Amino acid sequence: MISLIRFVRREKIGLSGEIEMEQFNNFEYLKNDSDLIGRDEEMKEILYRIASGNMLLIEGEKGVGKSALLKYAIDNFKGKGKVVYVDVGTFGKRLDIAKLLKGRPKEMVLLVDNIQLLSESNNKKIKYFYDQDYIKSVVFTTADYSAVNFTDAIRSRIGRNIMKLDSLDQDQALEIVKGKLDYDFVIPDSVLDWLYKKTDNLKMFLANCDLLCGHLRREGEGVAKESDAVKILRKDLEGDEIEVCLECNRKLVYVGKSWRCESCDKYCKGCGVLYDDDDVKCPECGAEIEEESR
Amino acid sequence: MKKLTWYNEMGFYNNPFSIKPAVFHNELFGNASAISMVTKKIEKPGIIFISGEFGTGKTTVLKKLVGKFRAGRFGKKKIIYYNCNQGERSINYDKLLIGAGGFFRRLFGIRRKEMIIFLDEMQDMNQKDLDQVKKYYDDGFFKSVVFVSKYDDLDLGEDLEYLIGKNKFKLGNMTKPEAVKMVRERIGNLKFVSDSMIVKIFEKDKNSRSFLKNCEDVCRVAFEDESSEVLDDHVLKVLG
Repeated sequence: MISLIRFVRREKIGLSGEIEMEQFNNFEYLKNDSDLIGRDEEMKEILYRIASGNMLLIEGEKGVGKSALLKYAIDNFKGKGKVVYVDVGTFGKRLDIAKLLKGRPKEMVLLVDNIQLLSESNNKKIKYFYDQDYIKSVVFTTADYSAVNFTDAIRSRIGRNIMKLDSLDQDQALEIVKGKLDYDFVIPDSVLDWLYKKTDNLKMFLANCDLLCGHLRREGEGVAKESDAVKILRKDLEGDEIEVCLECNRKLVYVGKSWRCESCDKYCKGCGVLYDDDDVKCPECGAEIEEESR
Repeated sequence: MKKLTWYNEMGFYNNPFSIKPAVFHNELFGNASAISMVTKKIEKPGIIFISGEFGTGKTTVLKKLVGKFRAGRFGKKKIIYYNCNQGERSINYDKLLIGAGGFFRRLFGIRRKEMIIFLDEMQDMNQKDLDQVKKYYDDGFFKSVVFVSKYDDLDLGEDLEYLIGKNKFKLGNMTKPEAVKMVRERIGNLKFVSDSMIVKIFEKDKNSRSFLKNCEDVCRVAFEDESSEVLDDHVLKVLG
């Protein structure tokens, strides 16, 4: 029972890689499980460092595929109960490495995502558990190694074991999307090319392809056209613009069911409905309006 | 099927160049005089302070001593090892002393006396714990105390400084013959790495931990290159 709860918790909180991937399951077109593409050397290095009991740091920009690599590394240990994955961003200050390892066997493999947020006490604990062999090997990921507040003890243990992840080239990115599609004619190459050039990183590109599949499904279309891709991107842009007031350019607040500007609009603070200068009560919910705001 | 690493292919079960303290319970290399002095001193009452840079083998020395005295002529467990990075806010000495006893002592909560305590990473200790060490030492619960820290200029207070006196030891790097001996102890008389190559790797970085990491990387590169032994090119490729 306890192991079941632990499993569920790990699925829900720990494996954020899983959660990010889950959105692809919402649509029939993009599959969750696909082969690792263009990262064979990196995967080999990760598995070697894990096997040989080293500390490894993966450095790469946002959306380049660090968590995805960890996810594939976890798959390699499936069912052996030897891996702990933790995303420091999810736990924040509540994270306690000692509690995480309590009751687990020796020689665990620890995978830590987003370590730029790791506290100093957890730093020391990782060093202690690593030295005492409770942890066999550690893989860290971060967007920027210089911004990480590692203690010198951990830095000296990592040493040269730093792997820099560069973004994949266009062909590999397209291959990943095609691997996730059941029928690869659904999004033609020209549309994929166009979408790829409009996005900064792989994660955004996949998310946009995902949105496109959802759009096709809702519209009942079989093959995507460039106009569909344009619609997807424009929807994003409109979404961004809505959050800023057109008159004073300030950020809008979400009240009730609509976006309002705090300085330009006169609205009921309870339900967000606009009212006139003369109104004493809100026309929607009947709440009294304060004189100052009038 | 499990993929084999270079050291598995060469017949090692574990990574022979592991940087973990005392993974292989072999003899220690380097700092021979300091270690023999510490070994002598901890049998007599007193407080000892050991310092050393990262990766010079402080924890390794402690682990070795723990192993030696546990199996040694004392018979019973006489040593308490405590790492101040363990994560607890303050050290519960009573719990440590009770835990070091046998079944009946643990059952009735009787503290053992005349124990030797090793306090690793003591730079992270708080002042209250430090004061209490002296109290327990004076009361006879601790026969000797060994402080280990990476800094050698810590302010321990007048009383402790007086008790430590000259018992301050600093661990340094190994010498060339010691480095060769250590590697030979770990990998045996493999012709894959010659003694001259070990010296060359050692000269690039004399810190023990870095040296082991460098050895591992060079051997891995040479093995993946399908070379029959480690050559200058491999050292250059990895260490520049």
